[in-house]
Amino acid sequence: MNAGSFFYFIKSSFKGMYKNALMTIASVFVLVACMLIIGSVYLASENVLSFMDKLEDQNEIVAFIDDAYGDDSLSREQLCAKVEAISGVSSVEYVTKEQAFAEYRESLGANKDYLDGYEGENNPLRNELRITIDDINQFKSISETISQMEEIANIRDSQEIVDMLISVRKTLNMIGFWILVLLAVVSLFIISNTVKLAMHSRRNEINIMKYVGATNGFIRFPFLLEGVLIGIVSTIIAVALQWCIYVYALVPAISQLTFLMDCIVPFNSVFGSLVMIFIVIGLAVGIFGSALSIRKYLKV
Amino acid sequence: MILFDDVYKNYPNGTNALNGVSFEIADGEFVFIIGPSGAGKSTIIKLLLREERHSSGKIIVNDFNVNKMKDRKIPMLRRSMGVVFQDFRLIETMTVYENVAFAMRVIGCSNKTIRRRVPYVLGIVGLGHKSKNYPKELSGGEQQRVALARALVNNPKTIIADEPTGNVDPALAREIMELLIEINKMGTTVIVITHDQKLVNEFNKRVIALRSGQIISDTTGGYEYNERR
Repeated sequence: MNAGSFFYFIKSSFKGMYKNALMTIASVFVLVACMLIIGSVYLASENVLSFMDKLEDQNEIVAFIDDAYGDDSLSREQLCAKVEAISGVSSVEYVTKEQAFAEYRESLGANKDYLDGYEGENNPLRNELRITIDDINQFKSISETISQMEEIANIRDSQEIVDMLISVRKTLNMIGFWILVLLAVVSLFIISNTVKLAMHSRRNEINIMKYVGATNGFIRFPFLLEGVLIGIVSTIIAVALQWCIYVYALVPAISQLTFLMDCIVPFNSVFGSLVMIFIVIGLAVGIFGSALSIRKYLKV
Repeated sequence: MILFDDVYKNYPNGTNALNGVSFEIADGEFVFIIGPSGAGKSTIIKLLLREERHSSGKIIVNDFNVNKMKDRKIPMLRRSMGVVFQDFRLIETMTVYENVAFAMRVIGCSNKTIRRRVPYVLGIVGLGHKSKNYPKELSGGEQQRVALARALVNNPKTIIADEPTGNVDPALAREIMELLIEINKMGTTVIVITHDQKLVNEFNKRVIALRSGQIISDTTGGYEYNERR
């Protein structure tokens, strides 16, 4: 390809978009709309997942240590190491009964004098391990393993909440996945149709190119370039709009639910992956759309 | 050289467009192919351009063996010919200059070559002053000359003119024919496809007459078409 051809390709792509301005705008519009829906679903699901993560983090197993078991620092460390060795356990915290008592007393607030007289020797509480886990799906098996350890008297977990969280997450993943699939199919269909119309309006030109001895590659290139340019323009617009929607609509809406406040994913942290998603959608749809449509007109 | 050897073309709908057509056109010749509509004239153009494939026989066009060539070679075959279509087939959204330059662009010529060659060719057809006009702003005869300039610009071995007098008035028809003869004198093979017997008789050239897909005469000089023959 010489410089003349290169500039010809660029020029004819821009010219093509200009001459079919309405089509180009329609393509960009549809593509941006699909990107925004996909992007919003993505952002919403990221936020739900962040909320879920937080819930899961708070969901710990409390294992009460048998009083018969040693309370010296060496046996504490040994016990913690033993529990940490179980796969799926992310952290173990040893809480003495004195600490636990103090926390309990604190949590009672104004009524803390109820516990007067239970300090020191009379403390009814046990030393305990607070265990958090990586993967909520392993919750059940881990809690069983721990409860069977001889050092552990009994454990307290919240299996029902865990079960609910697992099923909510599964449902959300499934809904998100199907929405994505559906939108991808819809947007490909609409774009390829739009491109087909644009192509149809230029079929004479393509036909003449064939008769003059243009290779298929030469004819296809400006159209592919056009698809790529439409994809890039749509990506830029969609990212900008998505930012506005997120900051000015989604975040204020989520913030209404105060307990979710600190779970909101900042736009910056998803910016990279969002742009990647949009570029992939934009380029794939632009290129496949034009490539699919032009095949028909190359058969002369 | 263009060679048709016992060429048959049957369309899937049962039409037998060509029934054993054989002729040879040497480099530098000027040939009329004449015949009433339905005789197979347009089929010959389609076979020359490999727009259609023939059913049997052998076709050789400017060193391309049309039976055996691969599809990706088709552009090269077409570049060896310049075709002036009956309906001109100019691109409406391009100026005269761009329409001609476009044919050079398509085969990958450099800007420098294009800038030198296009005005020269437009000069040959007498349209140097209209290079910035759009096809719609030109008369039929002028549009035809743009089409001829486009066919000429890549210096093809063969120029094919399909009904060059069909869409223009008689005075212009004569003008375009004289241009074609000039081009032929420069060494290009010229094939004129027409149904216009008067036109053929005005020039003392080789005439291949077709009827119902067969050659009924191949002579030099005038040709008398007789319905009863």
